[in-house]
Amino acid sequence: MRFGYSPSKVELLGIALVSAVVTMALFSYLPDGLFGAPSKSPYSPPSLQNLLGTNDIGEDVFSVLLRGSRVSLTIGFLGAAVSTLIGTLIGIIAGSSRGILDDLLGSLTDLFLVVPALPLMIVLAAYLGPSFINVVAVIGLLWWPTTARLVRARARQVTESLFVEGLIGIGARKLYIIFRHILPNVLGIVFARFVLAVSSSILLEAGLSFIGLGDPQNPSWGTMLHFAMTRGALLYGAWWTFIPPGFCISLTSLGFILIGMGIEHRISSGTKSVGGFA
Amino acid sequence: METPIFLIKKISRYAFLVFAIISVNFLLPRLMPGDPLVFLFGEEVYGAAMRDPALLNSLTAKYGLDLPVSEQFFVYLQHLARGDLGYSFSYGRPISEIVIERMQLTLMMTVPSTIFSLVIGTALGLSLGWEPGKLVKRAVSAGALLVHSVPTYWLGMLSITIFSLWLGLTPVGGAPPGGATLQEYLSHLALPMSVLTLFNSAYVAIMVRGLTIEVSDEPFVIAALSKGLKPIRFISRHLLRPSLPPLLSLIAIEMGFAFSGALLVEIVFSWPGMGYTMWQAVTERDYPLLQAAFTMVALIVIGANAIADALSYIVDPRMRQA
Amino acid sequence: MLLGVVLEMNRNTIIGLAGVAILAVLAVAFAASGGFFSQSSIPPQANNTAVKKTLSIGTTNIVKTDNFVKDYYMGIFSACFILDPLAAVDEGGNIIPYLVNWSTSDSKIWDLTLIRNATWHDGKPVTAEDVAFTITYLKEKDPNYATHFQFVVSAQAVDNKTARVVLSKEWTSFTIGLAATRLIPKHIWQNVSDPSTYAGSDRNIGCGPFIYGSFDPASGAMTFNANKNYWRGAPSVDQVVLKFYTSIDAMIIALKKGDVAATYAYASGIDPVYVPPLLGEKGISFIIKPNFGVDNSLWFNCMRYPYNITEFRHAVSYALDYGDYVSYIASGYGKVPTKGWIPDSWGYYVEKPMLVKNASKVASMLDSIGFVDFDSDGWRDYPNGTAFSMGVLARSDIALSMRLASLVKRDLEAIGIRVQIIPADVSTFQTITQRTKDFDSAISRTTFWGMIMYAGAGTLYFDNRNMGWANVDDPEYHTAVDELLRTANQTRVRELYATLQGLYADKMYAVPLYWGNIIQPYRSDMVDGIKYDTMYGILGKDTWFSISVK
Repeated sequence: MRFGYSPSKVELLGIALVSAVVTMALFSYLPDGLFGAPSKSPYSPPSLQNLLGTNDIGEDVFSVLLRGSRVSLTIGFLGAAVSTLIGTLIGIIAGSSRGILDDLLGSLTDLFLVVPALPLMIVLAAYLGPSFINVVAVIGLLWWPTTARLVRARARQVTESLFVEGLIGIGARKLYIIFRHILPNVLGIVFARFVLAVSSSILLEAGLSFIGLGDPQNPSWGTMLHFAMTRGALLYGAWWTFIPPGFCISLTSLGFILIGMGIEHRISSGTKSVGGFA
Repeated sequence: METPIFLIKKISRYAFLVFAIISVNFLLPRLMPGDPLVFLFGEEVYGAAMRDPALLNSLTAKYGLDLPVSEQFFVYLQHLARGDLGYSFSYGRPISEIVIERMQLTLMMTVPSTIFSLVIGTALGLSLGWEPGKLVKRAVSAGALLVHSVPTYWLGMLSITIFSLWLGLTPVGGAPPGGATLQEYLSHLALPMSVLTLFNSAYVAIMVRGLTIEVSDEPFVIAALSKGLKPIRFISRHLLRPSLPPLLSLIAIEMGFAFSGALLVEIVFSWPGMGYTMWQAVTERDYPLLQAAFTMVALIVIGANAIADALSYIVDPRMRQA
Repeated sequence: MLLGVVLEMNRNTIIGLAGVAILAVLAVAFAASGGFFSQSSIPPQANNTAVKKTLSIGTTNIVKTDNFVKDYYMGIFSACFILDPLAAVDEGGNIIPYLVNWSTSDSKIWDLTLIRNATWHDGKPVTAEDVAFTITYLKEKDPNYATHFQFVVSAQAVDNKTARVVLSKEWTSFTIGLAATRLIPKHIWQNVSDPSTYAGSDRNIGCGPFIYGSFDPASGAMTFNANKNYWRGAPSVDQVVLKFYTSIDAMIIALKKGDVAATYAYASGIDPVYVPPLLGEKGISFIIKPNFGVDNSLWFNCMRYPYNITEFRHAVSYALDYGDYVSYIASGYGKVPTKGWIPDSWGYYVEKPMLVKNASKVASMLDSIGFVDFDSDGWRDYPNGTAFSMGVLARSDIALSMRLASLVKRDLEAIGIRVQIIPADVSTFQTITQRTKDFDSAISRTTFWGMIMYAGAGTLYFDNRNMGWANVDDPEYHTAVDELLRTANQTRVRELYATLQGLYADKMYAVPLYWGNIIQPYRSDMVDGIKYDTMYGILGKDTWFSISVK
């Protein structure tokens, strides 16, 4: 099944999609107006001056799209980092301990798994106010339970292995076991979960921005869809304002999912037990 | 003797979940910025109340907002126990009425969509997971992944543009007028339901495919195949049955998704269900309504999880040792 | 190739794909049958003569509960349909008699005389008792009227037609309160202690041109039936159906399809961005009226540094590209304002120079008060060298407001002022602007009603002793307002308004961003003879006696 470290076709496709978005984000640092000047009337259709037309306030859609890629990617990565970090910490602590602590963390994980995340995110986003940091915080604080559960299962498996039990028997310290034996074993899962979480973060950020809870300082793809929906773009038939951002969100999210699945597949073909959750 | 302890543990965990959610629901809205008084009194009255402390005090006292938070919580628990969800300030009527009315609209959309997507998704997932290497199946799987990556509200915007604005087949959004015929309901529901079903089917298919691939690697499956069992019989007996417990928890998660995931779809199609109501309640800081709507959705999701747990317990005896 | 593909799929794939296909077919079939059904549900025009004349109006002003004390929009619609006001407002913004006329010798004791032969919907006559009761009851029970009737000491019926109101001080603006007052029947409300929760079946009895019909909150429709015994005669339509839409797009489509004959939004027309898609439509016409409110202004918090510096406020006004606001936000249906904040739609408008963008002037003005880019990071700093950033509060629930904020941000950042847009939904916005005053600047519109409240000329929005978004504590301004509140002399009032306009231009407490029009679309192939009312737009009382439904 495995052929060294060469990426599979699925991963290649994912890598291609993600690189395309990263390129877009890099392009957004080029000077303003390079891709098209603002038009003097709202919703001008695509033309040579504005490749993807202009929006309701005359901005060049292509330039806005490029700037949006930067925001979506940044929030995607940061949100994923926060949620993966929290999930890994809770997972390792729960998996390497027993009794009340494990039960408590398990219940906490269950609680967050069961609470309908999106409505809670809306409540939280409204509470914290729409800003870049807050969107990251909201995603990070609510998107960790799956990671925690997977890491906990793997950590538990390692802790209960004969070898580690033997180590504990001869008096090995807990931190030593965590760093020496558990951490290396969960890193694969953590990495796969991180990449998948980037995809989720991008989708969640887009969702929050779509309903108007995004950061107005840093308009993202979701923000573009928000204003297309609320400023009559559908009635104008101004498809150029909402087709491109939707495509970008979908393909970026797909790209990360493909890479994440590829990594998960590599791990699971080596360690069977994790597969059930993936 | 293992079983009762296991059950007690499970039940107490669900009890804890319910209590935690009720508490979270009570606390969160109160921590939000902005003054709820605006929505208790209306914009113009609020302005007047701000300039007239006596008026402000009398209104605050009337709505019990002058009590300490702990007392407000106690009152909240008492009322909840009585099934009294409180009174919505912005709607000016009992919340139980609003919740029941909106819940019906959400169920109208999510229940058929959940059933459709489970049937379609399971069938598709089983077939995709069986001999997954084939080119067509890989293409379809990739398609399912793509659909799952597409934001539902964007699908909604596209379908509104195509079916409502260009072809004029369906209404742009909203619920049909009271006393509408089944046809009118269906014409309003066609787009949001299709979007939700498409999205959820893709999700179920991806999950079931994974489960199927995993189960087909089990030794008993290989043994059964070597006995020369026919694929269709084999699939129903050996793939579907062992997949049932995880499938059940999938259904539970599905219900959760259907409820909270329908939120964005409801907003795009202005379908005044629970998700839409919750969203409005947030922007209007209608504490009681937000609390109630949120609690109801969370409780339904917990309930679905509990039922799925119970069913897998009955179906799969191995679970009892877990 | 295709055959190979089909063969490769097994039965379950086929079942799955067939399921998707069936679903798609079903969806389209339902949709098509539904679409067909809704088309056929419109009765053919030819057989329509015997059917009662029904007018359907679409609105996004959603009524949540049909209690007019409790629900803001129910208050508006009940004033349009089921209730009558004591006084009305004419096109010039003057208060004129409606149900009552008034006389006063000292602006302290007011005699209100019923001049119409009105009856309540339940058949009882309207008397001076009702007038006196309405004023005392609303002052006590409805916080809306706390400011309107703040000086009322007593209101009593003198005879069957006349009620006497005694004020604690001379107050010429008392008549504005009369225009805001919707007469309610004493025999129904006298025993109701909390009107905002009263749910009796007689709660919507009034003496207006329509009798309350029904309300279906789930589907969003409300009906009103013509009151044949109205004192002005029977209205020209038999029934009005209000249809509530949760999305503007859905409402516009309904207008295009003829499901509604007109759209309605209180104190505003349709968002101008929706006008171009409607322009080519056959059968759709527009009523375009000047807006008596200022569509949107940038309000400075004039008590916070550096917005308390007049020079700074002027500098900001030179940085803005007003033409952009007119073309993008008002879709061209508006004009660049002048420096005086009072718009030219008002009779007492005094002309001031046009607002213009002048980048070099901004630069020299900001340089002169020390707002220079000290650290060469491209942004101007405070005179003490710390980084400067200006907050702009905007309504997150109004897309237009957020878009305007990003245009303002673009203009200000072009001249080196860093801008932070602070989105706030309606409640947060009110809390911040009226209570905590924790903001640098804010973007908001004003209404006709707000313009005439307090001392008029928008003073409500400026004076820090009132609602005061601009937080103005200028003694000069306060003096003018205080005299306006006292004086009844129309010549003096005009002079004082000119003084205010001068202050608005010189001090720039708020920058008007554009002067828009109110644009009201309707289907001229379905209705004719719509009248436009200053306060209630097309749903003013005059419409019901000139309208004809085709």
